[in-house]
Order: sequence, then structure tokens, then C-alpha cells
Amino acid sequence: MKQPIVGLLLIVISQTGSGAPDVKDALELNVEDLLSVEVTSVSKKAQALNDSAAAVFVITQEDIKRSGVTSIPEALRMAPGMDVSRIDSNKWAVSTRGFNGRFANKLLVLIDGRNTYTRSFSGVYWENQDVMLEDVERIEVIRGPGATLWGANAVNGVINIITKHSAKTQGALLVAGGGTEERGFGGFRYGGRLNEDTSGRVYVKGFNRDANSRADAEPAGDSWDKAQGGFRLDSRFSLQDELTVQGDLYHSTINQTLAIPQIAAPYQNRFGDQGDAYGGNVLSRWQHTISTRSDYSLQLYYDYYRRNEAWFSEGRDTLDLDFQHRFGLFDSHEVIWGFGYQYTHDHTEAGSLLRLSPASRNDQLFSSFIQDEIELIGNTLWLTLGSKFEHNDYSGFEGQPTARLMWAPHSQHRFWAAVSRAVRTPSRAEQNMSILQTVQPPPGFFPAVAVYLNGERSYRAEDVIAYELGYRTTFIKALSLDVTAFYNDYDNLRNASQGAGTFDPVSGVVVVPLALNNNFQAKTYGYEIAAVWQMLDWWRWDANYSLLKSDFATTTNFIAAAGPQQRLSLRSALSWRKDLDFDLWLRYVDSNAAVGVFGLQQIDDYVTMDVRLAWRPALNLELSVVGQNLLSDSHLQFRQENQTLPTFIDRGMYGKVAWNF
Amino acid sequence: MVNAIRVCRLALLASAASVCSAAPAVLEQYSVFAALTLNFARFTQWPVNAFADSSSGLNVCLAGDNVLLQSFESIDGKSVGNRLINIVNSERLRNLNQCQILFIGELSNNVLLQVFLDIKNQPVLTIGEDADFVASGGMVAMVNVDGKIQLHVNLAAVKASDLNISSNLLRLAKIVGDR
Repeated sequence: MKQPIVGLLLIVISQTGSGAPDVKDALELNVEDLLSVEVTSVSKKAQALNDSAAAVFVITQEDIKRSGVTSIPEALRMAPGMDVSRIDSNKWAVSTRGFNGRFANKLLVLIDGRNTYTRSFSGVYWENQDVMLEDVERIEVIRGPGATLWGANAVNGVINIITKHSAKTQGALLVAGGGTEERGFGGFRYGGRLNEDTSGRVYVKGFNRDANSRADAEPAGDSWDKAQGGFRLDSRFSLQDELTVQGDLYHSTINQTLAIPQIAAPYQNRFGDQGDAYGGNVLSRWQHTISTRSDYSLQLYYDYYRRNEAWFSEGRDTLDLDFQHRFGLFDSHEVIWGFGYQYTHDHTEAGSLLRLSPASRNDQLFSSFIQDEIELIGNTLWLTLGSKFEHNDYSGFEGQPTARLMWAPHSQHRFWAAVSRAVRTPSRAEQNMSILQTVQPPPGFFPAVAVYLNGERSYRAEDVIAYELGYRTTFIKALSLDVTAFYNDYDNLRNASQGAGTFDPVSGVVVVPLALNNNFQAKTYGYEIAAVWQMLDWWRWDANYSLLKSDFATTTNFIAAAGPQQRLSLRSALSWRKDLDFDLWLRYVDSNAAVGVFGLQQIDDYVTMDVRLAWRPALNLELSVVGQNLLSDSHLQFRQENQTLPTFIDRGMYGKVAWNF
Repeated sequence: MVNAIRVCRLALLASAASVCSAAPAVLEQYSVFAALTLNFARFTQWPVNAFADSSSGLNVCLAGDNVLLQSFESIDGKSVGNRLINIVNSERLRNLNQCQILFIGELSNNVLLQVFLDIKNQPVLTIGEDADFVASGGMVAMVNVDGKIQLHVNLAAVKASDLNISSNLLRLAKIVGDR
């Protein structure tokens, strides 16, 4: 079987390698012929080179559709170097270049300019973030620090989810489906024009996801359902002004099995919890264009979320204002600067695991940034210098500079290098929490030992100096390659020091406090490779591989989770007939370790595969069948730092109908 | 021809004979755009003041990615009357009034409108890739409709800039807006 495939590949290489005759053919044709010849633009994705001096990967609408994913975190698995692990049905650990966890804190995530980061733990509640996936224009995944433009906490990466302009989502779209893990889902969007200058859309969506399994194949009690709706309005009220207003509302019921330490025997309480999460946001953005090289925008949003869980409950309001101005200066400078203000208010209630004190807090954040892209040699060499300055109520003043160089010696080659500093500002929990970490049952005659992890008011920001090198090329037509190497030097990372135990006569246990401090250092390094090969007009390959090495200081009491060393993703997108798609997605993830209150949990490496088959009986109707995680009944991807028991992600199948009308 | 045979052999292997039926090989969209742009250069008359002097080249400015740049290399240096085509990378949208033709690949709508304002009534033939382009004030759109290119021409905008496109070319195009 192997021989014919090799032969086939060789034919294809010789075929796609010769781009020149194609161009000549076109020049020899007259206009009538040029207008009657069949044209193709499929290889564009394999040829277009990104022009930014950063490790950028773009997930397109086409990628989302053809991968069969049903959530944002699952879509992020397509990007090189993204470490996405599903903890259970409704929780993910998402990071890049290490330090992953359910409460991972080094990745900044924006949806249409709205920051989804929560101050509570300096991270993202992925289960709260959703959009109508069919209305996503693209997801930009930027590995490495993006703090200069995007702000604090863009330490290891930035995810920028951008939905389509409402003028591009006109008409109705109905999607519905169901299956084994995706028990049932549906969505409806309608877009229309209010007047000549204003377009808009509204949508509703909902889903119900099945519980996964324990190691013994018993149900894990982690089923999840969610309903969400929203709108977007875009109005061009003058030739130079555009106003966007958008918003979302959601409610979800999160089922989970909690394993929470308690002071009385049996010292750990396991029970099913039905959590509630709901919220909404409204955002408006005004963009004014002064000239082709100058525009500014003013954005204001309000976001609210509330979560009620047995271990902890919180609500948070965030009000955020951002201004940005871009302008060309002389011939060779492109300057962008801006400022922002954020006000956030929370209201928390202690649960069985976590208590914040004070229970409610108001915080402010002031920030400004400036960046100048200087064209040193016309269309060949650019230098970008910039810095963000911010003041927050947790760690005070922070500066985050960057220097980037981009060299394009030829239209088919790009080299870039960057040095940046980024900080991860302290979370609310890190300064104000008291969490019952573990209770050790009484050893014989002695009392039980309760270990509490306590926040520290003096907890500071973590920081990184990141060095990056990159190369992109499309050396033959229909094949592009993107390679990035990085070296990250972290300082002031989170660590904990153990205090002296004291006997508490009231509860009858020895209380041992663990206090947070910043005296942990680490270095990580590695590389990421991404390739796109348009083998034929109707057959494309997307492959990526990433390697991550870490070197942790030995001074830590915490063992940091480095993330799997190697990840591989290989996608094949085949459409041998215009009305048929056949997609395969193979993933390999190296063995991993999750670290938390349950100690060190080894997670085996795994290989898994998703398959999608789609048929369009009519231009506006698509029927598809998707199989996910097909290679085993269930497999473990991650274990949360605390609270939940290991959950094995089940194989799933679903069918889907999408109808545009 | 060799290519076509290879495609068919491969298609047989993959048991998808349908790709062989389209007799003239499928062409890459951007090389067709480049060839069509060359034709527009040859069939358009610019006012005398559009050029610095009688020997200066005809500047075809490109605002787009490397795919656009590479595809248009094929028409660099081609002769148009007694002038030679000179490809200019105008990604940064500077000095657009030096262009005789401006091909715009991808631009956000707000910037695009500003480009049209910048070169309003100047003898720059603007070419874009979708039907909205001519609706927003562009002159020529090369629109991919089900795998074939259609030309849309906004004749009012062409005339306002003192340009004259030959009727031989115009009769193959769909005229949009007022004449």
C-alpha cells in the first residue's frame, strides 16, 4: 500500500512545483479567454505570508468549519504551540509555551476587543466564552509576549477572536445537530439591513453536552448545558466614521463532581455540584478615519458575570475604556499609541474551599502605550519599538517594552527577531485568598493537619524577558513554512513558603499556613513549526509541530506544570467534488504532568483523531457527520489543580445540518 | 499540456475523473488578475498630465500581500505603447498619486474609502477584487463568480478621473452605476 502513495506524492510535487507556465499561459490569453477560463484561489492560504514580526497564526472560518470543532478552546488546538487540554466537559486548560492549568494565567484572550481575562485568578473562564462559530471571521493566535499593544498578562500569548462585520452575515442561518457527546445543539442567526448605512444581526444558540468518564468508565457527572444570545450593529454614519455596538447574554448549568478537603473525617468530601454561570456584555466602538495612514478608535464596554458553585461564588462587573490612534509620520514611521482605563468591582461569597477577604473589592487600572514601526530600508527592513505603561491596584506601576526587527529580503522570505518584557499582574486570589489546600488525616494519635494556602498583600507581578526568532517562507508555490524559536526567562514566579503549624483547639487540627511569594525562577525554550501545503486544488494539508523544554529553579515548593514537551497536529482537507468534504485531523500530545493539591499526576501521551464528512445537496444546505477523539473509548488530557477528579474525555459522534436562507 | 496529463493521471488514481473535464487547465486567480490588469493598461487612455514625461513608466501600484506581489511580477517591464510597466509596492498607501493603476488586494472598508478620497478625480485607475469595491467608489472590480472572473466597471468614476477605457474592453464588462 505504501508504494502507490509515495508515487502519487511525487507526481503531485512535480506538478505543483512548476508555477511558471501557469503565469505565462495567462499572459498569452486574450481578455475573452481570461474571462472564460476557470480560476482557482485555493492555494492562497498556502502562499500568503504574514507580515508581522511576531509568531502569528490565523485560524480561518474555513478551518473552524472543516475541523468540526464546537467551541473556541477546541478550535485553538489547530494553532501550533497551543497547549489545549480538556479537563472535563465544561473546563479546559489552555496556554502556550508552558504553565498550563485550569487557572492558567499567562494568556490574554480578546473577543472583538473585549478582554475576557478575569482579575479573580488572572485567567479566563473558558466555559463562559462563546460566540456563534459560523460568524467568526478569524482567530489570531499570537505566541509570545504581546503586552506592548495588548496589555498586561499577555505574557505567553494573545488570542484575538474576531467576528464578521454584520454586512457579511446577511440573511438567515440555521444550524442544528446532535450525537453522543454533543447531545444536542442548535443556533439561529438572522442578519439584515436597517438602512443604507446600517447593518445588523441577532443570534441565539444553545447546547447540551454529555458527561465524560472516570478511569473505571463510570460517568464523571460533568454534563453541561448553555444558552446564549446576542446582537451586533454596524453603522457607517459618515464617510469617515463607523460605529459598532454589540452584546451577548448567556446562562449555563455546569455539573461537576467536586473532591474537597474537609476538617472532619473522612477529610475529603466528594459530591456532585450543579454550578450556575451567567453573564453578559455590551460593547461599542467608534472608529474615525482621518486618512489612509491615520485613524483612531474609542471603545467602551461593560461586562458582567456571576458564578455560583459549592466551592466559591463570585460576581464581577467590569467597565473598560480604550482609545487608540494610528498615524504615519514622515515616510517611514507608523506610530500607534493609546490609553485605557478599567474599573472592576467584585462581590464574592466564601464556599467550602475558598474565601476572599475582603469579600468585595473595587480596582482600577490605568494604562497607556506607544509603538513606532520604522521602515529602515524601503519594503525590506523594519524596526518596531514600543512600550506599555500601566498602573494597577495590585502591583503598582509596570513597564512592558518590546523591540522587533523584520527583514524581507525577497517577497517569498521573511525573517524576524524580537526581545520583549511582559508582566503577569497579581490576581485577586493571590493577594486576598485563603484556600483549604489539603487535610492530612490524623497519623495515629496525633491530630489531623489542615494546610491553608494564603494570599499575600505584598505579592508582586511575575515577569518574563522573551527572545524570539522567526522565519517564514513560501519557497515553492503552494507550500508555506513558518518556524519560530523562543527562549523565555521568567522571574518572580509564584512560590509558597510553609509557616509553622499551630494547634487550633476549636477545630482540633494543626493548622499549617502556606504563604505565597515571588521567589521562583524558570526558563523555557523551544520551537514551533507550521506548514500548509496545497497539494492539489482540492486537497490541502496543514501540519504543525511544537517542542517545549523547561528548566525550573530548584528552589520551589510548588512544582510548576511545564506542559507536554511535544505536540503534533496534522490535518487533511479533501474536497474531490465541490459538494463533498472529507476532513481528517490527527493529533499527538506528549506525556504531561499536572500539578496540584493531589500531588503530581502523570498523564500519558496520546494520539487521537477527528473525522468530518460533509455533503452539500444544495448550495445553501450542508449535512455533516463528525467523529471526535475516535482512537480510544476515552482518554485523559489533563487533571485540574484542585477540586475535580480525573476525567477521561469520551469518543464522540455527531451529525449536523446547516441551512442558509 | 504535460501538466494536464499529469493532473488526469492523478485524478484517475484518486478516482475523481471530474477534474479532467475542464479542458484548458485551471489558472491561478492572481495570475489572471495580473493578465487582465495588463490589458487594462493597454486599453486605457490616461490624460497627458498623468505622466511626468513621455518616457516615464506606467506605474502599477499594489496594495496587498506577497501573493499579489509575486503574481504581478509577470507583467513587470511589459511594454504598453512606448511605456514600460513598473510594479510599485504600495502596501503602506503612500504617494498614491504617482500610480497610474492601483490594484487593491485587501483593505478594511474605512481605509479603502480614504484611499478613494485621497486620489479622487486624479487619473489613477483603481482595481479591486469584489463587487463592493465598485459600489464604494472603485473603478474596476475583478469578481470571482463561481470560478470565473467577471469585470465590473464603475464608468462614472472612470470618467470623473479623466480616464478613457476602450469600448472593446468595456463591452466585456458589466457596467455598474451611472454611465
